[in-house]
Amino acid sequence: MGDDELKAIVEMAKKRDLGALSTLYETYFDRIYRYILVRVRNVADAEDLAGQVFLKMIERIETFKWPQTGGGFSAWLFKVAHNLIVDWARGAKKITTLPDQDLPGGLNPEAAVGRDESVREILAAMTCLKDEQRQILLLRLVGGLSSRETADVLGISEGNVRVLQYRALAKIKESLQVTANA
Amino acid sequence: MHKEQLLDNLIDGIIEGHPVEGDQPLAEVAARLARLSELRPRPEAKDDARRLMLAAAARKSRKRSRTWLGRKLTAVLASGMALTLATSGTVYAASNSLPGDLLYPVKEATENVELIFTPSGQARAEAQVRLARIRLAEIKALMRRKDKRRIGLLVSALNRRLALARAEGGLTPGEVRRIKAAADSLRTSTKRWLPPGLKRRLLKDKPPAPRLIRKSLPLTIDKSATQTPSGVAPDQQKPLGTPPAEGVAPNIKPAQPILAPKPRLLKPARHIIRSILRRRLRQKQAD
Repeated sequence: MGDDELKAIVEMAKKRDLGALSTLYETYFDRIYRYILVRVRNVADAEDLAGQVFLKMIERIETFKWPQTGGGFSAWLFKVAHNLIVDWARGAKKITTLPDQDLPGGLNPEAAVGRDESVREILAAMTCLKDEQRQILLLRLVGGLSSRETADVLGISEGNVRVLQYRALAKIKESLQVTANA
Repeated sequence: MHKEQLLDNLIDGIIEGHPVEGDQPLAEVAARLARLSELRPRPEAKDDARRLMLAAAARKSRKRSRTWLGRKLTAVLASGMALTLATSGTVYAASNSLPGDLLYPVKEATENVELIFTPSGQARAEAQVRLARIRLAEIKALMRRKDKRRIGLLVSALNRRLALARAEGGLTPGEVRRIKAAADSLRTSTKRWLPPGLKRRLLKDKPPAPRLIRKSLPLTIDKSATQTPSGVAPDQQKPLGTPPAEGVAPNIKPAQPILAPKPRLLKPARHIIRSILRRRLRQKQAD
């Protein structure tokens, strides 16, 4: 979906056009769900939080304004998701790192992708990353956001995003090599 | 290109579904992580969340339109009721007010509005008489307070109303007599403390004279006038003050038309004029 098309849909959604709201839902739900699932590591909570993201969108979309510079609507929606995850983690007293074993209450992401060893290894290696580095990789590779949008969600510069993602991937590669050698 | 920028471009390509080309170990790690994008939500969960979202959107639009309409209607009704109550309450409270009170201008405004909507002629004359009686009642009330200044204003207002009523042709002799009788009784009761000028003005037959300084109008002889019908030449005419002969039209023309009523000169002006006239008379006598 192009920028102009997205702008037109968002403007209609602000006026509570149900068709425009459905279009936005279809465009972003899967990406939001994936991002939340990898962060919270629980399918039921991820489904619940993903639904809440769109309820928040209904409440706050009237106040949304296209920024002159920055991420736009995608960044705004992922920022809502990010804040909900932070509140959920604070409330549930859970950490956002990725433990190895399954959690009760639902499937973990590794199970959902068919116990892919490569994905499992990478998710395990991500535990050694800083929180900001981990979030950058998840927003970029799982959420499908650009560097500019990721910078907008986290409140940092685009250059900083590139540097952090480079260092994060370098660290994961190093960790995988160490694991392989071990 | 900087290595971070290069990796960033490769990651953009991975997101769009392009494969990693060449030896790019970090990009390969990123491509493996990007496989998490194959995760899909349960269809039932997705449908439930969509239904909840659309229901919330529909509820919010209904609430918004009702609230907006409700607020507008409430605002209009409330302001209309407030205006009506305030107006009627104020007018009622003002009906018993006297000059000097806060609501007296409201009373005057109400009376003027009433007159505007009264058709001219007998009805308006009756309205003027009624207002004159109200002024009289106000004078009585103010006399209890001994408010000399405001009584003076009311007397002027009363005379004005009577003059207007007379002009409308609605003041019957009976009305005049009754109002004069009321004024007379007021005059006698206030003999001690009302100033003399005010007592005299109280219901005189004419409104108070405007305070103007106007010079006396000298009468001039129109020398360019043609001969009179009797054939008498202008230089053979009799001097001023002599009554003209019968059938002869006097060719005396005033410089300006005489206006009625005659203006009443202020004391200093009369004094000056008298002194000038005396001086001229003395000069003439000396001559």
